[in-house]
Amino acid sequence: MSEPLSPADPQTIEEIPLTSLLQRVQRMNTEGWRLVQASCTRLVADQEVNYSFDRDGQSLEEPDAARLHGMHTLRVRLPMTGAELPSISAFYWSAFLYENEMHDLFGITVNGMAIDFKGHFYTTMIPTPYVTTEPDHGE
Amino acid sequence: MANRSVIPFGPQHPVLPEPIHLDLVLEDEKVVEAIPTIGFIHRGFEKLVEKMDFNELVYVADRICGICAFIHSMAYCQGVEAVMRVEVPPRAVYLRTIWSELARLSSHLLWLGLMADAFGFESLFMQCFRLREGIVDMLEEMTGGRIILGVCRVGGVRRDVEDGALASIVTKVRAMEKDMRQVADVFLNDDSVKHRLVGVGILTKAQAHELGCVGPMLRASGVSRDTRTLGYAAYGAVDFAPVVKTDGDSYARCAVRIAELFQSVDIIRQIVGKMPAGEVGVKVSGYPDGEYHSRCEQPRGEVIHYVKGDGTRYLRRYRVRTPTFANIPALVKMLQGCDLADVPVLVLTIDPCISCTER
Repeated sequence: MSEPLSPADPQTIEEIPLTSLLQRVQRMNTEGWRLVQASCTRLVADQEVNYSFDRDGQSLEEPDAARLHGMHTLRVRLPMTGAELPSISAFYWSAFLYENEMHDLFGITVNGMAIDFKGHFYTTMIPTPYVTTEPDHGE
Repeated sequence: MANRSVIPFGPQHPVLPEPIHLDLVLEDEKVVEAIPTIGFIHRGFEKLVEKMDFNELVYVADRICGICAFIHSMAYCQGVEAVMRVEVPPRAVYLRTIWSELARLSSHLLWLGLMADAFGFESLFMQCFRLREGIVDMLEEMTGGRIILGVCRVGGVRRDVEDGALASIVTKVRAMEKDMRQVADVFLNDDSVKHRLVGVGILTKAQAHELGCVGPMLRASGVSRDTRTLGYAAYGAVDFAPVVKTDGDSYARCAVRIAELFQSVDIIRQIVGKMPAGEVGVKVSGYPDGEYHSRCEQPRGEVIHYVKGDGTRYLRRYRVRTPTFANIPALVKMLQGCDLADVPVLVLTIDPCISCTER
């Protein structure tokens, strides 16, 4: 008889207003969360940006650190066109990659990136390929 | 102040099998700044959600990378299964775990070979690739595929493997351990190898955490984090601990990967010993409605497949954050202050997989 499998990876999502993004990210940083990823999703009428963090970073000095995983995502909503975001790279320097990606693929203007590739991070045949109205699903 | 010059490194370079470009700002022979550029071959796989339904996307996930293909498809399937609350049969998740570990062995042996090639140790390179060939042969025996396995599906796996064949795989990987120890001995004890790796590209524990490192890069800097400890697939039934080194240099990163070779052999042995009987797949009906960040430990570190469905055949969003993407900021920091001659070795020590990153 095999042992039971472990429970799924616990995850939470918290939607916050854009005005409190930097404050919340700063707090995550102070509390020792690591930035796991940031990404954008286009919805029907607007779009959402997700910043995912993991708590394991707080336990750098604890030998059982790996058992303290838990992903928390901060979500902000943006208008479909003319969207602007403040960069979080003052708190998470590595965010510049995610932010340049959002700019090049989704056309979001991110102000204050640590390294700004000015639209040359990705070479795509179509500029900002995700800026479409609705997917056609190939039908 | 010394004169500054800028040297372009890549995207075509003898030691770089993958297209990443670095603008290296030098003062004499020291790198003072490195600016990375990727995106030369961005393939837009994520946008295929608009054309392919969630079942067809498994084939896309399988083709994101030619080194860690299987774990991509597994991570994607896990994400969809979590959203749809699909209970995957235990035998299927155990098989997934075996294939994941064989993929790790294959990838780490490939990296060791490329590393040996980078510092001109051709016979060592060939030994590593000879060993890797044995692993790829095993994958072919079990799945019919050597690189792109094509065995994962939402709800399970496409192929079962007889218990006798699984026992044979354990015998084979254990027999390979002796050869792997010989190779490991050269990497860890040969003076010429140590000369290129020890003390080169040091990343402290705090830096590794702050820069969002993952995988062997992170563990070589003393952080005990391995996504497998989440217990996804059958890892919850396996007794293992993350391999951790504390020096944070290129040698430590090499040592972590070498130790993980033997750890993978042990995990395969444990999993085969506990292999449950039963089906290897369930029928899945309906469409995904919800979202989930599926995480797996690839050979290069944590990979994330984010899936978001809206109750239709087509996902609203599919996004893959690859481990190399997470390790690029650390590479940029490590390069600052290094000698120009060490740049190829440092780039290789993150085990870059730009194919994954250009999903």
